Amino acid sequence: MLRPTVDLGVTRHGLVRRRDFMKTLGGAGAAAGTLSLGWHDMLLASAESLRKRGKSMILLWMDGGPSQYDTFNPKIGSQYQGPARAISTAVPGVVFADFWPQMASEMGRLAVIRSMLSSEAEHDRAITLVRTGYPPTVAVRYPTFGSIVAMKREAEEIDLPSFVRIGKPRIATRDVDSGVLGTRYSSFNIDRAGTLPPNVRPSAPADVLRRRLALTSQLDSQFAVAGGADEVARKSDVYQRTSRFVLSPRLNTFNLDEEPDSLRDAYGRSDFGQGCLLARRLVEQGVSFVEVISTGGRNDAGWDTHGNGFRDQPHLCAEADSACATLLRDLADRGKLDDTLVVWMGEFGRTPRIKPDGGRDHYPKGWLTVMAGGGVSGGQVIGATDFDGVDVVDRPISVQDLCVSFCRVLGINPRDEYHTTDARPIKLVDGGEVIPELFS
Amino acid sequence: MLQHTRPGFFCLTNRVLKFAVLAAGFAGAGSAGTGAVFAAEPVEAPRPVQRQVEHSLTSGQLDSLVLQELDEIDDFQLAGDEEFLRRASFDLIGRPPTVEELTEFLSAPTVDRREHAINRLLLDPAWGTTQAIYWSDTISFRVPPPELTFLDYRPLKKWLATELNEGTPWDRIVADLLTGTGEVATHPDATFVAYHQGNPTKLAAETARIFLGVQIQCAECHDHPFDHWKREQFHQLAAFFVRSKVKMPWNEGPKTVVSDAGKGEYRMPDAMDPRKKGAEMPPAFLAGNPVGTGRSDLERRRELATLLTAPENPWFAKSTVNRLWAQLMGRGFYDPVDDLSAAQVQHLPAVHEALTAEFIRSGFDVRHIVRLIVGTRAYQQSLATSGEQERPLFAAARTGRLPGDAVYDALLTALELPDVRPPTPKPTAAIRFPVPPKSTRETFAAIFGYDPSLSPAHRMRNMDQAMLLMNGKQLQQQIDSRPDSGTILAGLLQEESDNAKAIHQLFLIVLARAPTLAEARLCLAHVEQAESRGAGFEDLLWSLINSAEFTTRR
Repeated sequence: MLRPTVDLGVTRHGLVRRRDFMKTLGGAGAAAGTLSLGWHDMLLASAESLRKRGKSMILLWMDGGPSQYDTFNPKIGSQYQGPARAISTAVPGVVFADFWPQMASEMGRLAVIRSMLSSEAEHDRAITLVRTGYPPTVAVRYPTFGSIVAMKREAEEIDLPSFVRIGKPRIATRDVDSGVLGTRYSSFNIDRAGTLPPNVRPSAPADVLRRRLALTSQLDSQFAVAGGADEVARKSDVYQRTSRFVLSPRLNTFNLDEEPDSLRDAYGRSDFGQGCLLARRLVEQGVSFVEVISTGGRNDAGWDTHGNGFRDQPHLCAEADSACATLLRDLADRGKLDDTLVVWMGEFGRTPRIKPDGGRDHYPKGWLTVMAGGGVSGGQVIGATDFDGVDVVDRPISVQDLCVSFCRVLGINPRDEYHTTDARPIKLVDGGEVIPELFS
Repeated sequence: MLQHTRPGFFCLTNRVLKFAVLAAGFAGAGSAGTGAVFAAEPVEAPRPVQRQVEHSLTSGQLDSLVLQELDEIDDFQLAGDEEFLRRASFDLIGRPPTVEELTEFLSAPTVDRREHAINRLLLDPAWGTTQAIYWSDTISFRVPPPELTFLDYRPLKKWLATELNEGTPWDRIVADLLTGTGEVATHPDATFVAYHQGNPTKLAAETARIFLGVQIQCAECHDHPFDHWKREQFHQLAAFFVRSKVKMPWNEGPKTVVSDAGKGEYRMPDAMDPRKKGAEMPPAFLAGNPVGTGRSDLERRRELATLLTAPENPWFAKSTVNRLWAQLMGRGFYDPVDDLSAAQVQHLPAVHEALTAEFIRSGFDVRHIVRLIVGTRAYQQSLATSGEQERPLFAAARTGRLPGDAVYDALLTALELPDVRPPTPKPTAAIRFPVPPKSTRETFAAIFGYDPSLSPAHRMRNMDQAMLLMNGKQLQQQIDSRPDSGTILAGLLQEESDNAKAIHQLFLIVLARAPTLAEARLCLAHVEQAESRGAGFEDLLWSLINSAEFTTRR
């Protein structure tokens, strides 16, 4: 359900105070009904500025590497298929594994890439490649894509983080972060949708906190004159951003209790389902990049189904199916799908060969990504693997192609450069070409 | 000129016949110091012998050298006593002075109170700990987290602290780090090799970067674009580590162990075709000649340690001194401190060379070099205030954000913030590798931590730090004026009924200095306008902890 925010609206800079908003509306309106101006009016009035701010991206991360055979590229008739059957989708001729009935009915919105090709088959190396766009190296800690978006979209006055991650990665030590971009562009992490991390909620009532912040900045002014000007400038910048955030009325965005039960149920009451719901709330408020991690509630196994594939696949898929499909419908219902690129992927796929219990090992050939929204043309399959799903036979797509295409949707030039701490210039994405089918 | 000798340790048998060749290959290599010693058998364990040690440089001479190179100023403007003590305390023992230490210092005779304070701080066991944290962070910040386990640097820090406090020469410590073997928990000197998982290319890159200030890692894939390093040289360096085998705990039991793989030679990957079996590379140290293949893991690593720590190695002493200068002066002769390549600007070259020669002459005595630098007027300078003309590099003290452990220790000193460690969760079927929870100290160390190799400009201030200081629950509990809370603030308010005096005291406790007149007035006005005395002082304490100065070394 929608409710009015207290005094903020989003502009291309991210935010205006209500007072400034009144100014933009002009004198005539301000004279009469503006005091009762509701959320809906503000939403309409700020829709244009939201558009200028650019599109958002939600990355649905299937941590551990999902199986092609049990998701969006079943190989019916192949010795490698396993028990998952095929179901038809909204697009004639395209079939999914039958664990995905809801996504099948959303096929009209989806672009399914079945020909991802990379060379990394170990989790940490593959995660580095897929999430940063660069192969792993000891020389540079490349930033995760969300940090790049956060850097390119940094807005002076925004009171919410630009990059939010929901859910814990399957194995903490395999994580990639903002790397050489530094903590300024690292993700704001929500371990579990519906809770805020420690230290966000103010330790004192807002008026007390404001009073203290005023006193501390007076003390800082004294130190600035006494030789501390550089440190004070850096500190003030961070404290301004931090206090805007912890005192923001929009912290309520993180609270899911405002959503109707029926919708929460539709997403699924799993961590991932509720995480997807939170992701929608965040992009609605102008957050640029949201990552939602799916592990099936099993922290260190997730989609890494070396064993017990027959047992675990139906559960993992069911949880993701309702969450992903509901997210797409919900965004579309709110008119936000065209402004939001939704991407479903993991670090690689799984081997054709099946173990007796349905387990499959890592496989970086012919793995999948699914894209929707953000202007991407739905209802299409891009690329193909052979009858058994062993080799890519049509339209091999690289991780770099994917990253360049993300940039295209987000309006970011992939050849822009940033500098590492030792002043070495690095392109946002090195190599790769836009996948034209996505935009035709 | 001050000259004396003291007993030291010298790994006699580790010095081998490579120096002449090696030194000939080094452009501009200095040959001061203890000189080469030949050994028939390079693999025997090191044994202690008397080491001839000289101290011949003074802080005064160092000052003259700095002034000679700084045309713009005739002398240094000294910082006040309070500022000096806080700076030296943070730099040497990683925390601010207590009110007692400050009072004692200010009541000591003016003429040599700073010298006395420096001596006291250098003999404090926290000196070794503070250095140990610096070097451990230098290593750990670039170690990628391994799969399915968590690296514990506490044994390394403890070992380094003990060695440094006992005055073990730096060449010995580094040699131990390069040759350490066995189980990490009981042989912390094996940490460096162990936590790089015995990976020869990572170890080659990090050995050169950390201990030599040499950036050779680009040469892993191609000849260095603007330095003279060749691909072969990088891979020859890696060959010293090719037989180091490391078991990590996840599938080999609970221990991390370094051992000898027993066989194998290093192969440089074929640049044109990575599928081909690359050329075999014998170990060789940078510009030096290759040493033979077929040697054991320890033979190789001891050979490397000997060559790397030799006085004739032009980078070892120079890069160490550069790091020590940067720790204390806020910026290295070279910046960043891990890149001494010819393409970089070297500031105050004569000072850098004099300190390097002194470090070698002193038998690689870290404490001696630190004492020399802290004793200079250059170190004890004031900050450039905003009204005055900008002063050139090293003609004013530099501010810098405190490292993570120092932020915690500042809170421990000011607020008695307790160090609490939550219970470790037990592994379950769903979560087999639970993240070990951080103690209070570790939380601050992680959130405020920075890579010591980065230029000071990259010591970020960020929102996580701000939220921790603004809202952290445990910290806020110490900002409680209620008489029964047992906090320092409550005690102060009970003892001192006069607001102005209590404000004065709170500044001493938190910032280790008296307030200026303007600050005293400002704070008094705030306290007197507040709804209660307690609320006013809670605001003040919160504001002091959250001030830029509190987390700044000035």
